[in-house]
Amino acid sequence: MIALQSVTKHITDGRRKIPILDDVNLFIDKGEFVSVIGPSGSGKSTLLNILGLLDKPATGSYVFAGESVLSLSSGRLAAFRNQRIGFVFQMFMLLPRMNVLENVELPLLYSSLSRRERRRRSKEALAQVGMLEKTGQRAIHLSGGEKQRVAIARALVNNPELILADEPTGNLDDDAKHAILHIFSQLRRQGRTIVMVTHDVESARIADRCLRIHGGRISAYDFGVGSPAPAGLAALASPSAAASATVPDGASDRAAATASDGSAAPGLTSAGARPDDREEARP
Amino acid sequence: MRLARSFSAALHSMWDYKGRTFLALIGMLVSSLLLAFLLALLHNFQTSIEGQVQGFGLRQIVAMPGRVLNRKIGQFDLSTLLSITTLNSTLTYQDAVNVKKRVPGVVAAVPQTEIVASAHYGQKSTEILYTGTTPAFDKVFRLTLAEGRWLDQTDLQKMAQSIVLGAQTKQALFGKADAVGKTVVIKGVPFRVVGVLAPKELIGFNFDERAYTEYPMVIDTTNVRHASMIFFTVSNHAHVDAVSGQIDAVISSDHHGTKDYMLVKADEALHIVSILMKLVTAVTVGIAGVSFLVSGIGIMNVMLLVVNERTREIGLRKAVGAKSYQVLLQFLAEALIISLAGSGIGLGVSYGLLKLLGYYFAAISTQMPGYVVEYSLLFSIITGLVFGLAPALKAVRVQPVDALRYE
Repeated sequence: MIALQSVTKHITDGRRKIPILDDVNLFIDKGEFVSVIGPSGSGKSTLLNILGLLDKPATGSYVFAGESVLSLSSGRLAAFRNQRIGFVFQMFMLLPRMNVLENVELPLLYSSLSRRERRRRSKEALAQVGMLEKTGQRAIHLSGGEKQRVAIARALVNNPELILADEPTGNLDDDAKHAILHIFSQLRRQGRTIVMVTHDVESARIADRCLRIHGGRISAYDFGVGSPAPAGLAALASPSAAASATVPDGASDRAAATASDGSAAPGLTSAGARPDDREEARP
Repeated sequence: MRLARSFSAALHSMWDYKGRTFLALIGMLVSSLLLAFLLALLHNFQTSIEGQVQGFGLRQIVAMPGRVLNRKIGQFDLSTLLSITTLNSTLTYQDAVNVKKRVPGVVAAVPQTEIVASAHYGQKSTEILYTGTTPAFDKVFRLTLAEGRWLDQTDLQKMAQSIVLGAQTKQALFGKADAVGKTVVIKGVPFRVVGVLAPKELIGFNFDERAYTEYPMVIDTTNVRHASMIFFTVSNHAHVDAVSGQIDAVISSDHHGTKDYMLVKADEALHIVSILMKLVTAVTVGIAGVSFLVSGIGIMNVMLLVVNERTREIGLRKAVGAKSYQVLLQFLAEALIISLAGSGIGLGVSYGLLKLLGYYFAAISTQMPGYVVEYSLLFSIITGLVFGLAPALKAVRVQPVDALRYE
């Protein structure tokens, strides 16, 4: 569904070019849940911005559902974001003076739906995250976990093909984190395509596949041989990921099938990444 | 539909930033108030003058001291300007008599002379305009009497020391009590009150603070020797120009050819008033224009601050699908709503002020002409759009990826 090829991105500091993404190749199937893990400044948010069509790479190509999206006009890009991508941000990005329902409705304001339909869909999305009873409450009065649930509802309201989450648990306590990860695991079960950026290894485990980004280069992430998922998270993780957390070197059929050389690196989880070798990762 | 959503979003945001919205609105309110109130006032003033001059009669010609109207613009000097004052008058009672005698088209020639004096009744006294005139005066001005009668020919011939009080003079000396038959002392001379005028408003004239007596009485009891004005009534409006020339010939001959007076025809006065009003209106619109400019800058500053403060929101809106024109419309709509709301309130306040003014000055009508409302709204729409454009464009240029990082 998503194919990023040879993508580079840099920032300029005077005459010096500082690379942020360096020849990144990434392929994500429809319905796949991919987590991207990496330290601060590693380029994971930039990757997410490019995937979300908020930013453009310096070089490379980006094909979304068969459509080359980098050549789209800004108006088409806005429509694309509006109808096909849902965003979840670390800082929630709710409009504090609006109530919960209005916040969720925001993307629909830029569609051609009637007010009644907008309200219906917003309530439906809120019901999915268990926030229906707080529709009239102002966003500013919600707890961190509640805010993030509203933000997820906003991301879902347009029924997008791709959900991008930037550190969705980064500002939450453990209980709230688990609640949010629970929602993400439900979304995964619904077959949603999700890319979640995080620096939290535990959160990354619930994905089908985990990538590591470091110095602008992307590779499969190794959770470590035999490293168990924390008890709370193990239940949330996908059956294969949960299994891999306890079964060392548990290369699944799927992982093997997607790796171009047909062999997963030792220690990769079943939900783990395709091989680190970018040349080989190209189809 | 989308436009309606932009306005709805704009209203929402304005409510969120009430304080700033209010500040931006104040400037527009004051500008609109200034424009609407002054234009309406000028309009009403002109209408009132026109109405009153027409009511006073288009058959009237007034002889006034001074040479202002005899000179072209640019030929004025200080003495020309000062010549308009009563002190410099050379007009006389005899001028009126001569014109009436020699010009057949004149049906009435009424001189008026006046000086400030004190009127006493018992322990009470008040400042008045001690005015001398002739019995035809009340016909010229269509005066209405509240009590008694106006001066008559017998009063004039016998120098009967009769006096007619203006409404305010009567009130000051007698309160609610009847005045007719009582004796009032002016300049040490006792006058018998024969009548009291009903209150009368005529712009440029004061009837209420006067006491009218026979013309020769004022000349005899004061050091005033000349008429301040002579009012001529012409038999037929169509002959006003011709009769004016004849009047001019008579007075000029009596004054040995010296043009130290001017003759003002009613429609000429209207023309002068109209020119003056156009000039004042242009100045008013200019001042209001500057005021709109300042309030526009105010709106722009507030909107720029708002755009700055809402950078993250703009980024979020763009991230979730707002197109550039939708962001532009939202912020333009905000500027426009502030402008229009300010202007609307300004119009309302100026309407209220006009009513208040009308309460105190009955002579001025209190209408708010349609064109004033249109000008005011048009100015505010233009101001809102022009000065809202820069902040709106700034909002359009916000990059979502930068805005979402914005602290």
